Amino acid sequence: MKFIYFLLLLFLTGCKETDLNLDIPYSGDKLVLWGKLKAGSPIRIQVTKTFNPVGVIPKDVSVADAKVQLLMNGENYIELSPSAGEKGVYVSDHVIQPGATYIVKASAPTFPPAESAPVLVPLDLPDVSVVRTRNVPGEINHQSPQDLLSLYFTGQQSEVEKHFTLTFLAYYEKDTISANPYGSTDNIPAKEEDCHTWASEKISSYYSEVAGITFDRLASVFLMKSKCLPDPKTPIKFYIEIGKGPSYNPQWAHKVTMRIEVVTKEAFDYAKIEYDQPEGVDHLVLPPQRALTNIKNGYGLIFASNEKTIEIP
Amino acid sequence: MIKYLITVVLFVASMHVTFSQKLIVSGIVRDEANGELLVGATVKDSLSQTGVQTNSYGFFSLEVPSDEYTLKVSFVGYAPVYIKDFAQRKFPLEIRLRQSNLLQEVTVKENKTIDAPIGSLSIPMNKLKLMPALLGEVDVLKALSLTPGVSTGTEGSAGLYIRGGTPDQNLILLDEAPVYNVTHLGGFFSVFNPGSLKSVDLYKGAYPARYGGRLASVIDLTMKDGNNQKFGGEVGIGILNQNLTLEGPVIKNKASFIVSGRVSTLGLSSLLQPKKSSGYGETRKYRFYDLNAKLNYQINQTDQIYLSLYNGFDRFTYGEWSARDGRETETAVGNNWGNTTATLRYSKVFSQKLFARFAVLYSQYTSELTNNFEDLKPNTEPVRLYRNTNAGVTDLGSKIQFDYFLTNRTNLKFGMDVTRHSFSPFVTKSNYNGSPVNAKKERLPATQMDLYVDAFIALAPALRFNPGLRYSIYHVNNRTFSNPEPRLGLNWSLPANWTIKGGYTMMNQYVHLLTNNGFGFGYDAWLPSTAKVAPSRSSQLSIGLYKTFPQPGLELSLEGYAKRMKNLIDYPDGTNFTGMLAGSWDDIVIKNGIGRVKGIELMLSRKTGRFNGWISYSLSKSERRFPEINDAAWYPMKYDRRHQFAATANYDIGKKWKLSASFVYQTGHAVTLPEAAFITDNSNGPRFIYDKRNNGRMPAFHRLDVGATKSLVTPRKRNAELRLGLYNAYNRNNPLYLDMKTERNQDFAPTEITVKQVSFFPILPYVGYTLKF
Repeated sequence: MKFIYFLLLLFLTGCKETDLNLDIPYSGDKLVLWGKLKAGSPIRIQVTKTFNPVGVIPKDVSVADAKVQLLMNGENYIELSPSAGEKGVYVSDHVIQPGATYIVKASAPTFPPAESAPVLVPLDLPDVSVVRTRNVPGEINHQSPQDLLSLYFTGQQSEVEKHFTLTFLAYYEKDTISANPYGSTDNIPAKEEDCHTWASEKISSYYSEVAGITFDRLASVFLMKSKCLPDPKTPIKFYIEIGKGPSYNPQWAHKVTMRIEVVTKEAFDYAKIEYDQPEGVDHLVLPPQRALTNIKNGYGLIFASNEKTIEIP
Repeated sequence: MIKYLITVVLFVASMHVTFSQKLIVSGIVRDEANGELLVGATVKDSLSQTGVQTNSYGFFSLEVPSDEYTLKVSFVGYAPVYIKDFAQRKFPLEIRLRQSNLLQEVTVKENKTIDAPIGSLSIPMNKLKLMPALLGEVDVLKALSLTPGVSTGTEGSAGLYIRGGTPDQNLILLDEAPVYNVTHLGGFFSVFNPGSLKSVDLYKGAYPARYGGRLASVIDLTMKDGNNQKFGGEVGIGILNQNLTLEGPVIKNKASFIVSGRVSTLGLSSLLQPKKSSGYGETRKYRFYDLNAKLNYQINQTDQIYLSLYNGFDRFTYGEWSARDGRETETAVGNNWGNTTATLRYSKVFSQKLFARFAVLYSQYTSELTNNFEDLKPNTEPVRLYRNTNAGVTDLGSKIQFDYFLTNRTNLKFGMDVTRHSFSPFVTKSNYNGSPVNAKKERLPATQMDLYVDAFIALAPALRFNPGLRYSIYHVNNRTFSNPEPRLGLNWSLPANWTIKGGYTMMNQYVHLLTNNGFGFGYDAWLPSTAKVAPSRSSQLSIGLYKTFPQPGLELSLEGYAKRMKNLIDYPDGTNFTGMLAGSWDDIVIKNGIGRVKGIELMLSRKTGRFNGWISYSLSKSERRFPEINDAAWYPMKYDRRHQFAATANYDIGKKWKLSASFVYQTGHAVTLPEAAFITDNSNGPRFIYDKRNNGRMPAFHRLDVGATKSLVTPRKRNAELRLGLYNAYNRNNPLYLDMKTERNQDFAPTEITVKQVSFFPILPYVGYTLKF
């Protein structure tokens, strides 16, 4: 037994991380455009710049002197204005129209002009009904209180492939956090790897008195392809956490919501690449993936969504 | 081409029949101590010095002018035998050589004679066992990586990259049966147990026509036959593995067996992770084993039968369990893989000039990814869910080969191989919701037939010519591929022990490896060429210059080669074949790749004496081009290494101690580095922009290993060996992979990006003990 401990110790101590002075040529500054064109909402585009992949990260990567335009259906230009409160963010009161196609163009001194691919804002939302089974023993970490959600996609499946996202939030007295969903074993993992992925999305920020730092609060987002949905009578099932705090005296969420989005394919593909991107020891076996971008002469992603949020009864 | 060859053969045969009036001597050469067949032993007539070598079954056929001559039979490390009055004896002669003076054994018998084709090499197993190794586990594939033109991928991995090829382009044969997966433990060790092997031969230049089916190399491993004189064996205790070998006669001088097994110590680690009645925990279990067995029976002087078996398997499981109030749940993800091979061979001496062997082969490779979930609740039906995806290939084949010794100057090898492949690409069985409970296995059959002829012609005593032709036919999914594969070898002996060799070879590969990672875990799938994915093809031209210095016992070789490949495949970024449907892989892979490789290889070896070993140097460049990668520009193959240097040395200190050391230096392999970084609202830190594949280089790799072996005699007069050593003796931090790390300030804001190199293997001592009985 001691011998095995010794062997494990040997490997653990052997795994050593050291700084490496490697010459990595930088491809030069380019604009990075990031924006979600949400149907029915005003426009918000963030413009930053690339930087050297090694060395000190510039304190400010925002590009405040850019000219950002939106081309709708190939005709009407909408000029975006710099946001008063956020540097490098460009906004417009124009409301994104479902079914419209948008192209974002940006230019700034010393940068090559960047332009997004046409992005079609999804028109329809799926019909979903939710059955909630309260306080069930979960499959993972079943010490914490969990509910089982069964989602029925009741509408006719379109032949055109769509991409959906699901975000579950739990509302507590003082804050709103992710309900930490995970797929039921007999359900989501049964679908092919190509069918779904996970991402995280910033929903708010909070100040930790213990650490003395403001942290981003992130929510788990489940993304999937419409072709992977089961028949309307078969649910896809998630467990969510509806309590927090010590197990002997948990605090219960008084409300749970589900946001369902239809997003453009780029959003799904980008999330999948990010989710599968190797980190740490993954590099041993997986090569890094080429960054997904739909920005010509630049980087970043412009994608569109149409969404609704329902309270889960 | 075939017509031409047949015409030449018939012409030479007719000349032989017309003018030959000589005496023909044939025989089989064995080791006197254990009855093992001696492959490559030299048989010469004493006067004319005309000679031949024994084939892979120890058989030879030699023409001598009359029975007044004396035959000299010799083999390196054995006392020569002189035979007179052989005409009085019954053919084939049964010749047994006795081992002598172990200090004269060869370390590497590359280019032992001018008959060996360019780019071929053999390593005797007794010297291999002395070489220092990771955790003392001697590995035949890693030993080959110290020879020129051969390298491993990252440190520790056993997959070989030979002359710019990839591991799946190596045809690895164990007693003639192909072995599809050759690694244990994430690639750290090969599946070949050195205790069961007799010889290993590598062909990377001019391949004999009897080999085919892969682009880069042939590694031909032969298992020991087993001692037909006395019972014996050895038991070995090491850090990672324990092994046991038993061998002995079934019928003395007629039949023998050998059984050799190896099991990993790591399996014991599961004992450290017991599940409890309450709580939460993780389990990691890993174990592997391999078992070799061989039985041979000499029916009479001309007929012999051999049965070889191999089975090896790896199992890795990661699980999470939770238990509370009588309820237990457990999820487990497993990766299991292994090979089984079987070879039944029958060899027969039909006449003084005609030797034949017939073989029936079976090879199975299977890899499996398992997902299991179990939920046990009191007073309710247990829930047990599974999802298992299997990928594998099963081969059933036969081989027939004839060796026809036409004259001392000409002999022919010709034959036919037929193999029925059955591929099972990613077949999933699951009882998850929406999955069929028992999915019908989707197997993909393919049939391959190869015809070949190799001619060995001595145009002059110093000039040997080896034309060959292989014709392969592959049938899959109602489509048939057929390709001729011409081979050509030329060996020219010059005065003052100089030799020039040349070779040209064309190879076709009808199987492709889809691998989910490159580090030797076993979730790989072999798949046949299809209408969309054409067979890969390579052609190679090589030339070499050799010099022998008899007095100090040195041999020098310099080889150069150029190789072209086409119809290569690669994967799009982030490809994961885990859940892939069997029918979609050939749409997903990137096709129509081409490759070009060129290199120069230098080797200086000393084969005899107390101080022996070799040094090798390779200068090479291996590139790939795909229409969809790097804007269709040429880019370096991942394990393209410009410079490779290796040295290995053995030194005998008296009768008890043997010292050994090996050093290796390699240019860092190619790596994909980011070209820029960016931060957005949603990125939670810098994200990296990767654009061009293999656009950077890892730091150089170098390492020194040292070892010592002490011969012991136990109180019961048994021979034993104690092996000690240091892997990575000067504790070099060789990078295994690079990681881009983000430093953050007190506010958790990203401030700096640094490149970290991660190394796994520091200086590692090892100890091993082997008891022979």
